[in-house]
Amino acid sequence: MSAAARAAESGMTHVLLEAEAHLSNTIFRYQKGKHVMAEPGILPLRSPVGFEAGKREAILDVWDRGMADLKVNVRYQAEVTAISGQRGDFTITLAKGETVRARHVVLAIGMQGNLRKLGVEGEDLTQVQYQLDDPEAYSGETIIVIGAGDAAIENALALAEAGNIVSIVNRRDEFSRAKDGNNSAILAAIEEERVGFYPSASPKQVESLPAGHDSGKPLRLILNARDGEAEIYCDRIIARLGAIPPRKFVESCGITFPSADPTAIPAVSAQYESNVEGLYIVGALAGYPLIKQAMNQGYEVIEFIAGRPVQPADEPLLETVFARMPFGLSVDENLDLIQQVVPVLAPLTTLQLREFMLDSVVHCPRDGEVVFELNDYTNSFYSIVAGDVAIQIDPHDPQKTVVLSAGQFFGEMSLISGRRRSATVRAVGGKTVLVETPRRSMNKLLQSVDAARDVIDRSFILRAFQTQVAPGVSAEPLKPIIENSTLEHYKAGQALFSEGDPGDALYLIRSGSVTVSRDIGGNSVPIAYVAAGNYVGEMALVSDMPRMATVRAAVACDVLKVDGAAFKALMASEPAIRERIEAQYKSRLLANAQAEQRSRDGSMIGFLVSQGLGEATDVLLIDESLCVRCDHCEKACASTHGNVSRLNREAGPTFASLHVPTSCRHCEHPHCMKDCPPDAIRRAPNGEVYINDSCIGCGNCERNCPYGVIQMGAVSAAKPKLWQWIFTGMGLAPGTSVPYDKSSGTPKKAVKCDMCKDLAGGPACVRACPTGAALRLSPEEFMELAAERV
Amino acid sequence: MSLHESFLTHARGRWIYRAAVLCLIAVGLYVWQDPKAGPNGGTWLGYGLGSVGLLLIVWLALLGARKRSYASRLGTVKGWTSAHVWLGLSLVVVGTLHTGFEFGLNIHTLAWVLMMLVIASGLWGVLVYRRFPSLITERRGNLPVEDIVREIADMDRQLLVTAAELGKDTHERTLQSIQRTQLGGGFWQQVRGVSERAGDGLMSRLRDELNKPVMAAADPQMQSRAGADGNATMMFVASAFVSGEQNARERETRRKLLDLFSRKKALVASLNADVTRRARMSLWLYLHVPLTLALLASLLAHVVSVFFYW
Amino acid sequence: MIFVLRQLRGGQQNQTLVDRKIDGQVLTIGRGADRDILINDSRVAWSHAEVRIERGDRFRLVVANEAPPILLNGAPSAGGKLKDGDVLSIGGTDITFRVFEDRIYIEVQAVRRAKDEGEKLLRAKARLSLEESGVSKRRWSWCLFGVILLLGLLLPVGVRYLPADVAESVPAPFTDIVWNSGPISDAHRPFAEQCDACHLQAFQMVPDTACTECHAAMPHHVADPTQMHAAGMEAGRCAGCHLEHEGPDGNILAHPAVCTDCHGQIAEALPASGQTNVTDFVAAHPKFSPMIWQVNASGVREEASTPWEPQLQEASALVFPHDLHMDPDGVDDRRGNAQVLECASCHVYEQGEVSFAPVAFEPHCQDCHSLEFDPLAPGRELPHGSTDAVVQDLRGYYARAVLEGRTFEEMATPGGPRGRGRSTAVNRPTGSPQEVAESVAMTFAEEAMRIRLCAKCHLVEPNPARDAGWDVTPFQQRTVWMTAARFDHSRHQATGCGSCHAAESSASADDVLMPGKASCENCHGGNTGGAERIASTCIMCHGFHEVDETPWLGYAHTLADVTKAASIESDGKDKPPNAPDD
Repeated sequence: MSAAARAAESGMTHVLLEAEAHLSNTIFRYQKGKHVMAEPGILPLRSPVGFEAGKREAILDVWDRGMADLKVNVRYQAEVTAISGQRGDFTITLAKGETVRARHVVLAIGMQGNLRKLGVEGEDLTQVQYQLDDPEAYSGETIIVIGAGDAAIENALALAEAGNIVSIVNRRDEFSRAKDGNNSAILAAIEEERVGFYPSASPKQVESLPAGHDSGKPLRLILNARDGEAEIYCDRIIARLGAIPPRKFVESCGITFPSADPTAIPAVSAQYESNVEGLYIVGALAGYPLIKQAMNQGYEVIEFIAGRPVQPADEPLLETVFARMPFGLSVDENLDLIQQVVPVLAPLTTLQLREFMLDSVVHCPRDGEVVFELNDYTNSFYSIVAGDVAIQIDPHDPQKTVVLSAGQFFGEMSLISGRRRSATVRAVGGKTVLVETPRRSMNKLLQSVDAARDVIDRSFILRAFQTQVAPGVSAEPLKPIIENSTLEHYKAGQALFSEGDPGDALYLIRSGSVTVSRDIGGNSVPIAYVAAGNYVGEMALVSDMPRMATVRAAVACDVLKVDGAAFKALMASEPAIRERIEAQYKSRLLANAQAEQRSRDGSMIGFLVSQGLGEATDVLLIDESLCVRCDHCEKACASTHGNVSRLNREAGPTFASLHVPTSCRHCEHPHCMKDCPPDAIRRAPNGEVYINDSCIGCGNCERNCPYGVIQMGAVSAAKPKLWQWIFTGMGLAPGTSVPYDKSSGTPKKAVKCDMCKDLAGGPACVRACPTGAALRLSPEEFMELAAERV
Repeated sequence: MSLHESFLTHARGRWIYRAAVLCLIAVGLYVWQDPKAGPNGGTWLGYGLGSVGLLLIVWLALLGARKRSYASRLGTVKGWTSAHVWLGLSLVVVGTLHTGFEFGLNIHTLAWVLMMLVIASGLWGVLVYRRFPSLITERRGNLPVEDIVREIADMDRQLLVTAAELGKDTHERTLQSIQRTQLGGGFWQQVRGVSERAGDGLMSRLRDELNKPVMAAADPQMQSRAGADGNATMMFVASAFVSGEQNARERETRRKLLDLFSRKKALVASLNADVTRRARMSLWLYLHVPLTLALLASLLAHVVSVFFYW
Repeated sequence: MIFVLRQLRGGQQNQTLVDRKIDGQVLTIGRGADRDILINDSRVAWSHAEVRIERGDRFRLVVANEAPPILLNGAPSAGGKLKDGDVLSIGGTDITFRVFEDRIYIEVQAVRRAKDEGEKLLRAKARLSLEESGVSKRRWSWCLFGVILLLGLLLPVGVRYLPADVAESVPAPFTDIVWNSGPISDAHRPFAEQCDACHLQAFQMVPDTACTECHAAMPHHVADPTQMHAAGMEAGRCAGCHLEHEGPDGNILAHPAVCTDCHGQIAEALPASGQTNVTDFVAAHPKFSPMIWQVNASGVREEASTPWEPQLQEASALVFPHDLHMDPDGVDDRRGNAQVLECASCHVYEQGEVSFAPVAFEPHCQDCHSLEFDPLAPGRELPHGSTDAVVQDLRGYYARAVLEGRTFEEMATPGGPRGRGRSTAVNRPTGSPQEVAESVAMTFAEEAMRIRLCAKCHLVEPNPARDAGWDVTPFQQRTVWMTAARFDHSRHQATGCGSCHAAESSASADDVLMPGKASCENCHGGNTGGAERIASTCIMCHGFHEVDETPWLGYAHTLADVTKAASIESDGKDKPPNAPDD
């Protein structure tokens, strides 16, 4: 449409073949009153037809008038069945048999013609829809929306609005594909329980139930949910899984696809020209689902055809991005360079790459400059465009490094596991050029381009192995290992292996964490907690004995299972590794023994560990033989943190007069961080886990925290007046926790202990304790504490 | 050294030493000095000790403010408390030497008396704070008070539901008893211990009644007696319960009802006991603080009058 | 056999089930992160309970000991068998068991109730802490504060500035009497409750005028204070030494510092005074310097204060051996009867037993020492006290004798004057009877003075100016030797005179029998005294305010001094002041 408009504008002969009886079908079929967004905001619009964010109706109106004004030659109900010929002479056959002849053809059919199905049993049941025209049409129904795209989110929200009981099912636990607006909207809805949410769940089966089934619902949807198999009774399922290219038709036009992947899209040049000369592709089919982009392309493609070179709209933006690039190349050249050099980005179309680069930052670090430090809490992804970087594998010896050179990438460990950096990385040689990509857009890439994900997965295995197990070992000898390794997913509570099993494999934990427990006197006693980035199961391999402990996934885990035989072979060939492993083996043997000892006599350690202090880095402990219940700790917290206390002194268990109040333990591997859409939960250099202002109040962290120390609240500016209160008792008492006030309009956000990292002199709770009952301890210290208490 | 260090021995008893030194200096000077008219508040040492004492008292009184200025980085509150206790004790010496042991029926001696009273109440506070926290911990579960209340409310709800099954009057009785339920109470009630309506005595008596049903059912004045004390409802339920003529289901419900009742009583009792313990732990403050204000007033009068009639 | 955990999501309306298969024989329930059934509720213990499978289809509930009670079908349960349909309630969560042949469904339903009315009511009614009991520390504090401030400060100040007549009507506890820091001295009792009698101005020290208003006659420390002030020695305020509110006689300071502050350094500070520094009677106090008679270079007898030393002699011009007179066997009187004399026989107190009346001839000596001169005229005695009188008396006597016709021989018969150890031969006078009488009188006058009578006790020296050519050196008797100090004999009676005055052994009247400092020190220590000596500070012997006559009496004020006393009395506010203490 945009193309036609431009053509008309520039007086070319043209015809717009519209299959339907009206223009712009995709928007037309949006649900009524849908708010259409104009993403990406930074991108200027260059189409002759206006477009800005607004209600579906408004936009359609603008367009129709625009087309009319430009006197665009439109032919309605002209569904194209075939396109043949080449540049200068195309024959387009319409459904009614007529043919149209054209010099150039611009294919802007998008994908909506060809919606993606559930792909499971029962996907074609009548109550399973792939479209939602008017949410108002339904109410009082239990409706499951499947999908994580904008369409799915908008439908879910609209349906909930219309008074339905709506749950949304997402294959992942983040809505990273969605526009920011939608993202926060849906998360808010979930938080407020207007919409139910099944994260990292995928449909397994849909069955229609006989009328009068006691659930009273016609449908049963069975999901593979994160925490098990969910069984949902509902009236309707709306799956918005996006669309896949109408491959048959497109191929019939002679256009080839790069891969057999059903989602794959035809490759187009920077001028949107397909492999068939003269046949151009724009819009979703070219990999560009966003309206504004499509419209710009429509404009641009006409320019190209008219032989007027034009720069893509995002050119200036990219220029600023590439400004840092030392080679003084043009944007296109840079893009080519990157695509050539960096294999992981190779599978991207130029357009995807352009967008990818928009979010990225180019770095040219000096020789020896540190890119990131071991245990940093950053999680962006780096690709090396030129020069080298050195990954320090031995934290104690800066000399032991693995050098990565142009084309490789790093930082994916943290990207995937969401954990601290596992090694320090320095630039070497001074000619290094890096592209840093934030986690979110990287995830977007990984999810939309499977090819890229595979590359990264493979290298993750290698890297994990190199850093954790075999430092300084080059990729070569590890090949057999890598080949014999499989990436496995374990659900929460599922056992990787159990006590007594034969030791046939080594497990590298890629994400999530596991507990090691032993069966002591009939009940299983957790003796260790192993987090992502580490490995388990080496003991049996070293000692050739059956498993001496049971390892369970504490939360859903991605685990890399390394074949035992291959590993033994490696150890045989690489004595260094053997030593390392054996050392580790011994230390663990010892640790386990101690842990058992402690847990057995149910002593303080047993208690502390059972309170999850095993994974804590800093925890508030109250000696109740000193605590006079004055609650000044809570008040201090509230008054130093916007009148919202992040601490509940009274709640929480007590053992031998040692009280563990409900307050953040600043876990080694915070559960709360796992699933924070805006990446708002950060770790300060000193290890404090805190939430920054970018929190959108989705409440994931609150749900994820097993210790219930995160709450949703709104900080207020109220400043109690100390003296006024002391003398008159009027006004707010110092340290009052001001309850959330809806009318204030400030949204609830997640609040948690930040260990007063911004206050001199340490945590206010401890400083405010008049009797010395409150104490913040690090793990080493509470071992000491336990010793003194036992 | 214990990780949890009591405020008494804060920083290895730093303030014990400092207070002791202060006392020694005071006593030393007092013994050494030899004023023309004998020791009294008017000698240079008298003025000296007086000023020191006054400053100390004012500073000690500021603990209340420091405790509540949570953002303050001015030492830890624990340190302040420690200093508060020990320097406060040292006032016994400083203040008394200031008087030169000249006492009489006047504002000046009143100030001294009040000071001693404040210190005494503070001492009491220290003792209480050493004893009660553990006591409270021993006696109560891990339930926050608010949750216990919630639990009791839940029980009330269940009680009403269950009672409703047993007909109108049972329901009414239950409602009454629920309305009678008392959590905590007034000042002295809390301190003295909230009278627990559900004594074990009652439960045992109840059991006796259950054992001799006929009489219990017949006995009218038992009814009245039941009516008299706060456990009318339980007696009522019990008597009806034992009067025999009802079906198994009803029996079951009654048993459940009684059961709920006894559990609720127990819970209420334990809550009230906890309230009492906490009340007794903080009672001293209700002397300490007002007396402190009184002391400040008398000091003001003392200082002004001394110079008014110089 | 497998557990299928069935989470009932989203309360009643949006109800969906999430199933999770749990293999194993035990199902753990609690708040801990690693529990199979995780109930995030503070009323639930971290490890609260377990469900165990026993042999096939038997299930047992095991509840942790310290955990709060679990309800099994509404009744509290410490564990036990479970059967199909059983409902466990833990905190706000219900757990239902549904047993099927191959699997157990465990339906977990969070009974999330919003605070309902009943609960709100219950909570509103409950007063679970002293704060909630409505008794406010603050209120009590302010009450006490107010009351004390009122009684202790506001009222006293207010009443003071009320018109006198109104102020009088205000009863005691509401006046500035509450400021009275201690009992008033006896002397000032009469106006003990009129604070403004002394405290004239608020916030001003009691000025001397407040004292001198009554004590107008009070002399200065020295006659001319200016010289002291010049030396930077301020006598200071009256109240500096005379503190009040220090008890009945607390207003007279015995502390040495009162004096030694100046006298400890007076030699340097005020050389003109010619005094030595004194800080302590024993340690630093000059020798006593009694006033005694001395003959100076030009042979003139004069009084001089002379530093004390053993056997200090003075020119007493008297012949009086104390030892002789104090002979324990007594001394013969003129009738030959032995009289035993003691100190008090001659030394008689006067002036409040501080000093003694002078010893006189008639009362004390005459009994023994007769002044008869003519055996023919017993009882006829010469007068005492004046030599001229003696000469006149003899002239008269012998003139009459001649007129009566007594012959020279008769007058000079051994029975006559000549009989008694006459030394000089008397030539028979010639001439008229008048001449004879004259020469006889002169002869006997000389004889009486030089040899027979006066010279016994007195120093008799030739004096041409006198008719008889001889004269008795006059003897001024001293009653006070140490003029700067007060010595109260009455307080020392117990010790006996001899312990200080070595009279018994004194053969000469020239012996100065005043004790030295040492003998005082037998009993009197310095400022602090000591084990067996009396603490003796300056004002024990010395007064402060100089008195012109009788300094040794110190200053003891009398009602007469207190000019205001009358006025106070007439004011009728109080009974007249009690007798002054001295």
